[in-house]
Amino acid sequence: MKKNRLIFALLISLALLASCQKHEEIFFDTPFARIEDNNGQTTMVIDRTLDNILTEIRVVISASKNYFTEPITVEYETIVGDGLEEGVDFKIQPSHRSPITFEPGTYVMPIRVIWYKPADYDPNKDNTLTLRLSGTSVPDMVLGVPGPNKKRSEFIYKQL
Amino acid sequence: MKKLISLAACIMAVVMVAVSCTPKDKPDGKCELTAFSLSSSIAGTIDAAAKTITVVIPTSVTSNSFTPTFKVTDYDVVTIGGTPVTSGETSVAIADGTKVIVADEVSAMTTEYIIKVISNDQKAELLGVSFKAADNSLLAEDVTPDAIASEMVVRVPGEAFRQELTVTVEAGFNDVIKVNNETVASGSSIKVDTNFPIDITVTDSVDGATAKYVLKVGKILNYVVSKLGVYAEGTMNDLSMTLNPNDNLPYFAYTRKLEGEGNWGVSLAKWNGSAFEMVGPTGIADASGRSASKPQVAFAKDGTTYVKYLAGEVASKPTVKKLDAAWTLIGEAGCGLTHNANTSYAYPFYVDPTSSKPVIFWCGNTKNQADYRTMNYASANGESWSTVIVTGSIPAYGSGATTTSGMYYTSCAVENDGKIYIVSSFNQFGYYVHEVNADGTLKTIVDNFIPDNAPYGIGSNLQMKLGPNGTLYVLAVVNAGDNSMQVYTVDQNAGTLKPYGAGSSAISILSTGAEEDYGMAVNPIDGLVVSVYDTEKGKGAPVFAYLDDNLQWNTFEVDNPALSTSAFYMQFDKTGENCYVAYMAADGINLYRIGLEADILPE
Repeated sequence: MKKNRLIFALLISLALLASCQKHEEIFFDTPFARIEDNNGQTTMVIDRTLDNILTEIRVVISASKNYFTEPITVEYETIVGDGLEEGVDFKIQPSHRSPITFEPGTYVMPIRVIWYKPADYDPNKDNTLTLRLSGTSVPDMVLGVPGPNKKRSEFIYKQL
Repeated sequence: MKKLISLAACIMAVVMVAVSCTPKDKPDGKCELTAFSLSSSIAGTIDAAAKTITVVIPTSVTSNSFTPTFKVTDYDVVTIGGTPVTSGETSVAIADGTKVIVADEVSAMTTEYIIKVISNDQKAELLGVSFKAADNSLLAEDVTPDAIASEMVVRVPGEAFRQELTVTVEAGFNDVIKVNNETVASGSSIKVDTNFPIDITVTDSVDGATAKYVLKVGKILNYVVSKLGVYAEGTMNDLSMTLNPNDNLPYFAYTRKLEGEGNWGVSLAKWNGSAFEMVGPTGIADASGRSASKPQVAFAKDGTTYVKYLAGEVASKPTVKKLDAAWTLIGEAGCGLTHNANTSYAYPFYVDPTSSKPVIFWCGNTKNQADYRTMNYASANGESWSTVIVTGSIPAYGSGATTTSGMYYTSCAVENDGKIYIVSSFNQFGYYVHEVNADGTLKTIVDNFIPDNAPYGIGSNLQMKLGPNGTLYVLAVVNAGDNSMQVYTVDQNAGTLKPYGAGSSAISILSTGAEEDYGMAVNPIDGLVVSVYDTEKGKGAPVFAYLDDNLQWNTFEVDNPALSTSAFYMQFDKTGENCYVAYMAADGINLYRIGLEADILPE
């Protein structure tokens, strides 16, 4: 009987010891960049009857110190629909054209686009402007929110 | 016993040898500073390799004397600038290059550190931002914001608006400037596209403090004329406009005939900021027996609205009503006047700012009476009116029916700081400015009576408005042969009208009669003087004019204004943002706004 009690006590002690092992924390450390408006949306409709409409969207990066020891650049490509013409229907602020440079400690950078009232609007044409993240100086950086759908990897303006 | 003594001696010998062989201090082989600070707020950064101690001393610290605290490795002593120093106790002078020597007391080791002093303002601060004419061909002079602030606006002439311009920035001590994310040295310039807000970030390179600024480039705004709308009620005739100080909006008292009516009735309407609307029931006057004319509106400080008109209930006399649920008669119709009044002009009508009594001025029209052709005051105290004849001393008008009266023409009243001032003309060429006393008597401010047929003078229509700083402005047509317009300010000390913009060219009003219709307004904020007039009575488009920065008359561009059939009524609101201009035309009351053009900022 005494022997059984001893074995039982030893087993309990072993179990307790095992449970007291240091917890290994696992951090999500995947750097990524996303593009969105200030409300987190990825599309915006521009009223074609209005002139000089200034819009501001942003590129946000998420990168830990491991990746952010020097400036990070993020590139985006501009895809203009056949119904729009840059410089006529819209203009991107020159200082915020691709690539965008993030100094260490800076995680948000704006992209400003001013929209002009079109002289000739053709609703049958593609009147969209897409800004799509296309590259970065950090090899491991994901463009868009990590996940299979790569959400927020592009922003689409549509002039209606 | 001997053995014991020998044993004890041996033990003592061993102990003595052992004690003598133990070193008092064992060298640690190190001679280093491990921590150093000049004060609780000025910590030093030790570079062990470079043997430097960097300290950032705020520029606000004027003394170079400090009591350093420090830590060193074992058995080390410190001298600073040659002075032995005890941590936290010894005061020494600190300067850039001061030597700190750490010496090991138990060895020959020494280490020498050099103090590097960095002076810093500990602020990230933008000190200046400007678009210099020298850098920008589109600018005639340098353009800077009124003050440095987190959000700033500068205004440039139209030709430079929304163009690429060169901006010069300056920042404080040790500050790094970035304009649109591009580094710019303090005092240097960078080109910016002013279609967009300009982001300026200043970072103190020493302590890392950051300040962010946004600069927007707008256009220098110009005054423009825009038509607000046209209002009609039946067929319309007489008109006057007054701004209600309570809502800062224009009200229009007018005569009109509705379908089937034979006489002119009176109504009141207002511009509510976006549309016209009627105020109170239509048909203020009882025009069943005769037409009413010359309606005017006035406001008490408590918001009570009064309307005055001539005739209607009583021929050749004024009547005043106030707006309750309906239009309520003040006193009796005819305002208790014992003699007929001149009905050719709309004499001043206002609510006394102190007593809240409605006040009318009137000109008697019955020969051989004391009130004939004189300036008379009447006020209503509750239910009855009382009259004071206030200009019995006016010199005779040569062709008048009596030898004791002149001819009192239309005039206008202005409130300034609770006092009422009236400008009035007599016999076409004489003019007066009076302050109206509480009892209705007048205190003369300007007195210039010019008898009949005088070659020079100012006309029968005198416009007076209150400008900035309590200055009263008068617009008159100088009857010196060319009917030219001249603005004056009232010099109360000298008792004269002082030409405003002397030497400026005047606009000639071409035909007799037109001079009775012109209007004038003065911006209470920036002092802009504007006027609207007919070049020929009933013919030609109204001219919208203003005195430019050089006090020369210039005209606004107005798109086909309708011909006027009335005088021009105009008044700036209290903000100075809107000058309302109203006149009657064939299609009704035409209302215009003179104000700054719409602002467009990159936002």
